[in-house]
Amino acid sequence: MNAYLDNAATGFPKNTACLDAMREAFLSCANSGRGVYEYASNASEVLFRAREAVAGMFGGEVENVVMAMNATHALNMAIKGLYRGGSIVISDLEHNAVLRPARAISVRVRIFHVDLFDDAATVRNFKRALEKDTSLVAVTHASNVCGRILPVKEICHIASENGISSVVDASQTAGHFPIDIRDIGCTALCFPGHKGLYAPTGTGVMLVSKDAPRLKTLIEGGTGSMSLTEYMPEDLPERMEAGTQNICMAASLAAAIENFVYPADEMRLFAELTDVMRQDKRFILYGAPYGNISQYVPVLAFNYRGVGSEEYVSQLASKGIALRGGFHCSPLAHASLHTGIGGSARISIGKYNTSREIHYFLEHCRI
Amino acid sequence: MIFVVSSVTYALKGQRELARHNIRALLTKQAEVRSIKGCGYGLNVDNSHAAEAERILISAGLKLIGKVDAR
Repeated sequence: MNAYLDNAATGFPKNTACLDAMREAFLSCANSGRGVYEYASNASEVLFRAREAVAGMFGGEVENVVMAMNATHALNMAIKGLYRGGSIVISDLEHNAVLRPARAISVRVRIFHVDLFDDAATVRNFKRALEKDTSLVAVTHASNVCGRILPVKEICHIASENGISSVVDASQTAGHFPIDIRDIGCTALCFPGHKGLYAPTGTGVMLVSKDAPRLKTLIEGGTGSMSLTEYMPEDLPERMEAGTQNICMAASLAAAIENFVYPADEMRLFAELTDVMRQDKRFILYGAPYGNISQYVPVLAFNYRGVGSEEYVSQLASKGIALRGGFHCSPLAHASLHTGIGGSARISIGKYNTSREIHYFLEHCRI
Repeated sequence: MIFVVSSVTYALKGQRELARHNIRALLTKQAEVRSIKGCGYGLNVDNSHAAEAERILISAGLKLIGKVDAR
């Protein structure tokens, strides 16, 4: 591979500190919360350390850090756990990880339009979508198709003022810049460990705010606590963590965060790439930054005129360039951005990308 | 004195909090702890620090399910 540019799918290369942590956990840990003997205690410590790492990086309380398999799992827990009937409001840039759980539980999913150049207009659109019986707002922090950051702080503040729970999907922002759940003001913040944090696939988190209402459970079972009751414990995180937890993955997530350094160069590379592609009429850019790059994460949707996105990315794959084509599990975003029947190609830059890789792409992107 | 909490998460949070105040606490699952709700965890603190430990745990937001004498 000469240029891995699919970091919105999963961050790569992974943080190798995760491997050492996983190996150590694999060799020394039994089941968390099941005893005070050495191997169980090791597992409990590993899991707790992961919660401490998450709370340290994203704010909040350690007991409100709920481990998940990925962001989709976390979003399902949050959306289904916080929904109290009536309508759900989402944006028109949502991933299916938000759209599908919303559709599964509510017949009324209200979709508001994100204005790519005017956050105040986006907030006005959001307000208009609210109904008297709206009980949940679920929005992405940044689009996985075009990279636009949404005004989530304002949206969550308005939701809170109206007694509505809010869920923020930070899949494309966690690890790109500092995020604090207390600053955003959402009820639940969901993100993967494997994208911007460079932990292995199979890691995710639902971080719940201190004043969140009690969540409905997604699955039920043993928690190693309160075993004499027939119902799930009231308290997080165990309430949402039935069954044996993935201790090796928790160890890897903790290692990824403890060794984490925010990217220094990715936005400069993104600006350079966008500027070059914008000047070439063979490319059609969708929702790309134009004088407002600070409101983006480094994700760019585009098409090469006359070539389908899947064919285009396949041709580039043969040159050692990793991009993703199609719809990126986000049909709403593609409809909103008018990418057409074939979707688009997508470049997503990560913190390990170099100028050399971007130049390699620019040398080979015209087919 | 053993302070009973609902899960290992709260036990570890309490243990960390007490350590910050130089109070040593050991996690336990002995029978007296289990008798309260089943499969809870206890924080075993020397009786000489019990009152202070209780104050610290409560101010840290820990829900104490019960207190039992250590064997």
